[in-house]
Amino acid sequence: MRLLLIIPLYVIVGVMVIYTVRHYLFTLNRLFGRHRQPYVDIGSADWPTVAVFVPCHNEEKVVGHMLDALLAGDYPAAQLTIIPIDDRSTDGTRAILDDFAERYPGRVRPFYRDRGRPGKAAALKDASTQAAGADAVIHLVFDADYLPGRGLIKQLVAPFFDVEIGAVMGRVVPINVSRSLLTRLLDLERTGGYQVDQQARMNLRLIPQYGGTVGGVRRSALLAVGGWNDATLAEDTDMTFRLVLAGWEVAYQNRSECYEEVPETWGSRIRQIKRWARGHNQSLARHWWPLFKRPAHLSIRCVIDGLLLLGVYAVGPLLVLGWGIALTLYYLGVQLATGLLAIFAVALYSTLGNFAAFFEVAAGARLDGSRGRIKLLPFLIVGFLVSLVSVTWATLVQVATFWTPGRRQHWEKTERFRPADMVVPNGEEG
Amino acid sequence: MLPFLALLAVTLLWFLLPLIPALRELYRPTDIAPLKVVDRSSGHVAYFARNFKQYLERALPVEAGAGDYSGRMLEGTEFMRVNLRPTAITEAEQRTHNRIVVFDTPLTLEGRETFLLEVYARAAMVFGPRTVFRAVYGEHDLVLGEETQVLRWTHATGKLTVGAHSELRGRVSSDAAVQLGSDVGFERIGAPVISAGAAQEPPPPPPSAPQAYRLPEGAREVGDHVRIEGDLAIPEGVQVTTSLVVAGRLRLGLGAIVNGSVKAHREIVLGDEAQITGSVVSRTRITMGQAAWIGGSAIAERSVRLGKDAVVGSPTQPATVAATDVELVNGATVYGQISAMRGARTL
Repeated sequence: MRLLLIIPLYVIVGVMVIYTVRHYLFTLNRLFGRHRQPYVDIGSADWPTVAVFVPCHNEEKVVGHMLDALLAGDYPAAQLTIIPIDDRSTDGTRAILDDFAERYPGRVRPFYRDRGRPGKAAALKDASTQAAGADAVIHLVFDADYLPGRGLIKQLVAPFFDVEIGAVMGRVVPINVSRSLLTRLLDLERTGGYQVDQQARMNLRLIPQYGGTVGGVRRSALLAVGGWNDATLAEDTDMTFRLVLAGWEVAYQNRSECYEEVPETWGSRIRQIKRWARGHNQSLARHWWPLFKRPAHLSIRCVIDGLLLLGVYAVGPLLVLGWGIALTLYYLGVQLATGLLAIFAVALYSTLGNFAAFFEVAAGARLDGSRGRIKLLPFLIVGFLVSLVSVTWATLVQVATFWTPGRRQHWEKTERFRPADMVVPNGEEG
Repeated sequence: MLPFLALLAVTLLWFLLPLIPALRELYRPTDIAPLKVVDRSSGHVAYFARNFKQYLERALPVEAGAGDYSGRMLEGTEFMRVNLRPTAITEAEQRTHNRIVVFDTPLTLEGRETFLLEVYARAAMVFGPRTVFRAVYGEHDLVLGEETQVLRWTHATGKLTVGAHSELRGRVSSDAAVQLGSDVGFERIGAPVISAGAAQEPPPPPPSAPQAYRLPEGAREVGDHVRIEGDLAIPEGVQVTTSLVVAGRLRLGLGAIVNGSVKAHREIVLGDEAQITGSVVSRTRITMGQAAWIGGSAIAERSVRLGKDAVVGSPTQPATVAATDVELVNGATVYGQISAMRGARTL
């Protein structure tokens, strides 16, 4: 009985140590390693045709700003088609899109969905094959609340001159930072995630993740892997791994920055992270074995990084399970280790392991030159605990209902908070 | 009981210590604005030149339109305008000019001047050898003599010609063409055509269809390209009609042609007169032989070397050469842009 508890506990501790080492490896790479950005200097080129897809469902508060920003960009107009996808909006979204289509004929070509599976993945799947202009060489995707700067399209297209690149991901920067403690914490989390995690993966030639927005895919790669998968809640993670397994690379462009709106209420944040967890876990279930088998074109370190990336949302439930086992063993009177070595191990993990993610975020904020916001770091424990509980709950429900007959996927749309009178920045910065 | 409570209190205080700056930042925010995103326009090769031009349009007094004239910009910076008497510049100070200098008349200077502030040439200008500029903007053709040094940026609306052994720091741009002498060091250049010595045209299509090359066994089709594990050597005079990803070294023999783009995980060597119609990307080095041609951009994480008369891009297909180090042998030509993180040099 005790062994049945002790062995899983050691496995969980092992997994936690691996993730801790990964955090430190990425952070130290960003602090002291070579910054790899091979495509950032591509300024003169024969720019290919691009279709920008903007999935929308009740986005009247934000979509106009988004389209204005795209139209103000410096990408050659003849090479660019903007395809807003209206997925059964019930607010004024459709009227806004019609207005843009009328004012910019041929440049803005809305695609309307009123049947079929709801959700972003399904919308992209339909539009990428059926919309006018979808035969472009590059497909970029933006969420409707994003505010791309003038040169962002060129920046995101530049890596595709590398014939091996199947997908490109830019950096997401929260714009509504000042709204609440939550938005400030999310700003810090994004900093760690992009400035450190994603860029370190790029530096180390691992697997940067295509994140579903501020990025895109090469159409030929999309077709080669069978198009967008509408049976998942995380079509971005799914696409990342299908491309990587098929022999494509994903590039991360740290300087391709774009403003987004982060959730301003804890309820909205919890729904968002639960959706991410469910979608990511679907990808874990689908891709861990093909990745583990290691296709010939992938290095061992890419496989390890890919497996760790796939397992990110499984860490929360594992940690909770570990705590449960440890408490049970304690009340059963089991003492796992004694002496100085045990004290040293616990102390080491308490000082380094528990704070690995904080170290990563702090390093990201430092790299960004943000001095004041680092002081909020202790409050991140609140965000992490909320995420831990939400992700664990979402995973448990997902596992419990996995075999439920007739189970249907429910798409949770992220709530928008943008006030009507908000001054939208134009992204000009020296 | 008391020691326990004291210990508890101290522990709690210890735990709350990091929260003091956090609470302070929460209630009296000092760093609450969204991070400033970097717009691509700031990365444009002519960014500083355009800003300077806008500054002049704003700050140069309108009454300074005729004659030789010294004065102050609207914001106070001193300037000198050279218009009617070309010798005004040489008479003015002892070849070191601590003011913005505006040239309205085409001039040829002897050289050895030092311009501590920007130079604005409204007419075609020829600067002599060993001139030192902070930055220079020419509205027409601009000729910089041998051993010129520019510390910030250079821009010419017309053709920019740079003498041998010069060093151009920062961004260099022209709306027409840049011609570099031998042993010129630079970092970034953008122009419709950039050449080391006389510019070369892209090669014409081969007179007869070359023999098609059969890719080795094990080559695997991945979407729109073919992937080859290991090294690949394409023999001379043959043609490959697909894009390639080579997980090793790639060599193109004399006159070999790839109709498509190419990527290699190790170095890429184009033999003399070899051609790749699309982009070329290497994780290490790209070396182009004599009169070789790359139609698209050439991107390498370490170095790119353009051999004699090698060409990247074409007048209708602009391209970028980007690497940590770039070398251009005499006659090498790039239609578009060259960026070298550590430095580029003509040989």
